[in-house]
Amino acid sequence: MSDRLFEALEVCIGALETGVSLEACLSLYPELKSELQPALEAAQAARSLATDQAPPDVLLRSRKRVLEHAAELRPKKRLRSRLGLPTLAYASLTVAAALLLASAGLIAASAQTLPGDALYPVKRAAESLSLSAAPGQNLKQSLKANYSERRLEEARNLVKLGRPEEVRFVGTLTQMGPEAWVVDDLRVVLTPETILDPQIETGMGVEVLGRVNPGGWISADEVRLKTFRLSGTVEKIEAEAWTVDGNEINIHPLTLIESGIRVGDQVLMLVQVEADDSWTTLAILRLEGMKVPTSTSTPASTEEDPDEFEIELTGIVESMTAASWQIGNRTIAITPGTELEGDIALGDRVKVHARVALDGSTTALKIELLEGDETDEVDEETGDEPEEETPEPTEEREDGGEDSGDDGDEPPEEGEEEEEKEELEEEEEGDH
Amino acid sequence: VVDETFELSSLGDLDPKAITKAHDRYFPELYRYAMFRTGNGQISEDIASEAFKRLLEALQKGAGPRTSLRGWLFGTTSHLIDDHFRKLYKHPTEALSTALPSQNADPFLLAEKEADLQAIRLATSKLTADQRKVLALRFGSQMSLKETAEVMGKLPNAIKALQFRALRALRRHLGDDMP
Repeated sequence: MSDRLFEALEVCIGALETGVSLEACLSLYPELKSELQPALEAAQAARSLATDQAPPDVLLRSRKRVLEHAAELRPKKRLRSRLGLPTLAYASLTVAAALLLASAGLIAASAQTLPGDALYPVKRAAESLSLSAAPGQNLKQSLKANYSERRLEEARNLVKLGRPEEVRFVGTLTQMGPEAWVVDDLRVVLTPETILDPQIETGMGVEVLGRVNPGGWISADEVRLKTFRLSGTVEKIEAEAWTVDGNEINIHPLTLIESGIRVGDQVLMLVQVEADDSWTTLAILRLEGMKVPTSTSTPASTEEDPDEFEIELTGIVESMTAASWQIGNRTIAITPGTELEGDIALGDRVKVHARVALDGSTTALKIELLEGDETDEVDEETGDEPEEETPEPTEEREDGGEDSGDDGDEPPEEGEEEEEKEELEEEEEGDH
Repeated sequence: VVDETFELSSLGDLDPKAITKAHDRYFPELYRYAMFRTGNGQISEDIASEAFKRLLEALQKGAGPRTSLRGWLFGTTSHLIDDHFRKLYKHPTEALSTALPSQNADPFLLAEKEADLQAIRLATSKLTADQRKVLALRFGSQMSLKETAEVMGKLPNAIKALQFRALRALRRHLGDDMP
């Protein structure tokens, strides 16, 4: 076989691909016509077997199957518990939280006494007594939640009465003004001395430490971040900790985990900040399929929407269309308002600042190119490859010796000839 | 730009990100490879998916590819296709339902076209395994000569010769009734 024939075949296959006719191709190589023609006719036949790309839904379906299979292969010890959750006030804002509220069903019915009442210390003492006496973590946690609800209720009543007492309660931050915030339905006035946690945003659960003002508000000494929501893709499920979008999330026996969550699912997590600043995951809920009953706010609106929150993530751009990009495992909507920084192309590593709606849909606010992207230039080529693992037979190259697979494009080499040995059937295509 | 050691260890750890990345990168060409040989979307989807499942299982057991992930996937896909045809030959009734033409076109024309394609597929099935593979990679998965060489673990020049022989043999098997 001559190199020239192979070259001609290669050129013509490429030409046929672009719509050049077979005859036109053959006319370029009149001296090779007798050998080239049958091969090109066969190439045309082979080409007719080619199909379009797999439709996107086929790819996604397969991906899901493969990820599910991975989840089955993974040793799993899923912890589950059902119990009331603390910080119900925070939860009541969101759909997710509504679920928790139902499961907890705790209302502080017996909050007759208030701070400042003669009997109030008795009530607190009784609480802490039952807390320490309560058997098991579950009951303790329920009681804590119950007591937390009572504190809020007490604060409410104190404000109504205008009784100037110290208060400490947990609620949901629903409005943030420059001088006053609203926590649940309580007006919390900030002073220059108020200690604020800079991470706090609307929609988060906060703990307020302050004093009731007779004017009907609470003047805050300190507002601490207490609970917040995180959403992301579950990457790893283990007994002690899950990985969600690269963050390790600690699981403890009281974490409420919706059943059936698998790796690859979008989840919403409620996280509580403990006194020592550690995080406790209160609940993990699946986002997919969860419908937001109200909220149809357009993604482009710059309104603060408590049903949405912002995230940051980094990942590889895997596909790009005008309306959305695939980054990591996530489809991210692109709007005219999306700020693009740098000349981003497929395969680039980017950092995305995005807004996530409660239904899990993600809209990019800003996407920036990360330089120093560690898409490592493939430098390897360690040793010549086809070893027993590569599932194909290795005859066919017992000739010229060197087998370092690829060395850029074929250099114009001198005289090595593929001695034309019509290899006969080797039914075996390697194994593994 | 084929990174041969493509996150094999992450895949072995069943890291979903690595799995998704590898899947989305290789599934399309495996699917087209299977389509080239089976002509059936559902079967091709199942086969390409199955290849990834086998990969994860193999890696978990400490087996699987050491160097060329892509080559391994194509090797496995080839096997699965062969298995598929073996089963078909044992239960030939199913063969009839493998390639159903879609609606909304002249059924006679479609049937004729489908018959042509089946004839070509039949002719390719008479080639040697390597010959079939080189054609499926080049014409089905639409790989370059160089990529084909990498996937098959051969030199580009060997692929050129193999490809020529494959086409010549295919032409022979197609006989006079070239579509």
